[in-house]
Amino acid sequence: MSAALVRTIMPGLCVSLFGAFVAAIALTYPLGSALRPGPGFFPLAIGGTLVVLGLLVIIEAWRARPLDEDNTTGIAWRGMLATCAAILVFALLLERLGYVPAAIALVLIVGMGEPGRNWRVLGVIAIFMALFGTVVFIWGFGLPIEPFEGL
Amino acid sequence: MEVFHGMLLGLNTALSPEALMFCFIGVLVGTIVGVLPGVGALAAISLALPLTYYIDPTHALIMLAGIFYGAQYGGSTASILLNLPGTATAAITCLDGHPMAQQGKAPLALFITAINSFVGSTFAIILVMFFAPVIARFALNFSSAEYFSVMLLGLIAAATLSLGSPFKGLAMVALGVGLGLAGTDVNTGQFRYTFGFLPLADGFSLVAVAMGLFGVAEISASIGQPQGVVHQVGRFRFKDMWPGKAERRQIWGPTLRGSAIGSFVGALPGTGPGIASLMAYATETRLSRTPERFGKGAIEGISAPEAANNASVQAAFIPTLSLGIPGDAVVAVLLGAMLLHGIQPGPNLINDQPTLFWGLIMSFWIGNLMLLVLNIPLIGLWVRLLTIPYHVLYPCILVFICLGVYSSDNNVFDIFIVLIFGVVGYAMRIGGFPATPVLLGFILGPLLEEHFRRAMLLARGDPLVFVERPISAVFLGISLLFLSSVFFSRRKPGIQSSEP
Repeated sequence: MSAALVRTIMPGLCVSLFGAFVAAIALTYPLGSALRPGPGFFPLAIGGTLVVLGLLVIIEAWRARPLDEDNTTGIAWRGMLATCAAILVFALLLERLGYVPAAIALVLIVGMGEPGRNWRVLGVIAIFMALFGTVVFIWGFGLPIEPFEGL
Repeated sequence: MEVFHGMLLGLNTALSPEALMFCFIGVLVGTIVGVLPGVGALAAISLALPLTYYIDPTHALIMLAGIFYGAQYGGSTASILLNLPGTATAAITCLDGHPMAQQGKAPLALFITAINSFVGSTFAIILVMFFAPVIARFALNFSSAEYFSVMLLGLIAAATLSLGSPFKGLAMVALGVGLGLAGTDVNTGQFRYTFGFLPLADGFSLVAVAMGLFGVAEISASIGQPQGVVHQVGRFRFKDMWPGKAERRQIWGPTLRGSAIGSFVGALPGTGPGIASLMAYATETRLSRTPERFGKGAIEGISAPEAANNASVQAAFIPTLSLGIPGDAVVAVLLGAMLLHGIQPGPNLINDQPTLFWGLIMSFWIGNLMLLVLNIPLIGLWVRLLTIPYHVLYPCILVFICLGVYSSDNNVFDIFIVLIFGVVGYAMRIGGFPATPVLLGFILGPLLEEHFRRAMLLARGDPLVFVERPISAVFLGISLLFLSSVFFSRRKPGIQSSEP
């Protein structure tokens, strides 16, 4: 029951909490007056709207119980974590080691998201993307990064 | 006569060698991303956007628009051969297109979708040529109050007309507007929601938000998923593609109806090709004397939606070019592209920049003709493209996303933003929230606030200004109608659509 309850309430609750967060920060900005609405006026309204809409989403989901099990998608943790880790590593390496190591690391890490990965294919993709990006983006479009930093 | 004059002016622009080249690149890239499942027009346009900073704005728009309508042509190929839509808008084409392929009629189905795409586009481009200038002239008297109301209407329509829960749609529009708040307040210079990060002073980068919500979220969800098997078609012979006499008689009605429905739906702010093709399909099943054939390879089942989604894509330029209000998320990114190029979309655009407006419109004709050539004689090539396995494709796409986002501002910070929005986008998928309204809200939000504050200022703080001005009152009334329909109607459960 509790897992189903979480699934019912969570989506709307996230929206409401985000709205409350937006509204709370909006209060730290000058609200202004009706004649001259300040920088906090509109954000406060949006935050409030989000809180209300989140509650409506909860009510709607509550009424639609019991949840249709076919409609609930599981979380593909492996794919998601691999994608996030790949992007994170790319961002960290790009300006430290250069584009080529960053791109190769990205391809190899995101490849781990696949259960039956083929390292040879991934290696070919990694080298191809390292070359392609260097030629087209760095030399072609003149991105201000180096293929290898510090060489 | 004015239209004729404009056409000549536009042809002058659109037929220049450079414009032809960018138009060709656009429709070619559009076809490729349309054919490949998992890469949408939105991702492709967002990626191409930073690369267009250095070219002429007219050429940039010609190319970006080409990607948009080109993708609609390619989308049906995967629907028919793979039973997997290349773009979400081609989902309806799976219903009858794939059964046709199973019956050995894939060449015919592909031929009809190409021709109907062309007919639908043509129909809508004519409407754009005649209506956009008229609406723009009408909108010249708009003050901030009218702009605020029509934008609100666009956002509410986008949220409530999207498939699935309207509350979730509305919440996502509001979320998008909220995200658009980050950055420097234009009126007072106050930093809002920047949390001490200097790169956020200009707000979230449009490219980063779009790539995160659509690109990264899509990849995270698709990794490790089983891939469909391409239906083998063998060689394409013209004899197999050409519809017979009976089939020709069957398709012209649905095609015209699809074009009309698509144009109408596309011209409404906030509604896109997905809804257009769904409505066209529903209309055909209702009008048909033999509705039981639908879903089993009915030729009307592919001709109407294919005409409709292409018509709606072209018609979406009516509100975008005349009012500056995008029809759907992809056009919203195009609108963002205009703003980045320093072009203010709105009623003044047609008068101030006639070469841009007419050049763009005439490039639609040229681009659609190119697409006809790309999609009929070269169809075999695109079919081969479908056999590239997804696990080869997505690492490449991810590198492109990261590089493209970095190049938009030469800033690693934006790659972290992509990461955050990738996670948010994935969570939204799990929770059943649509991503398109977020992007619309994000792009229109700052304009909405600006017009709200200006209208209040001009009315000396009297909020009644929004209902005292008749045009504004009408827009607000329609918005209210949409909102009340959410509360007072029982939704039909069933068709759920994924994102473009």
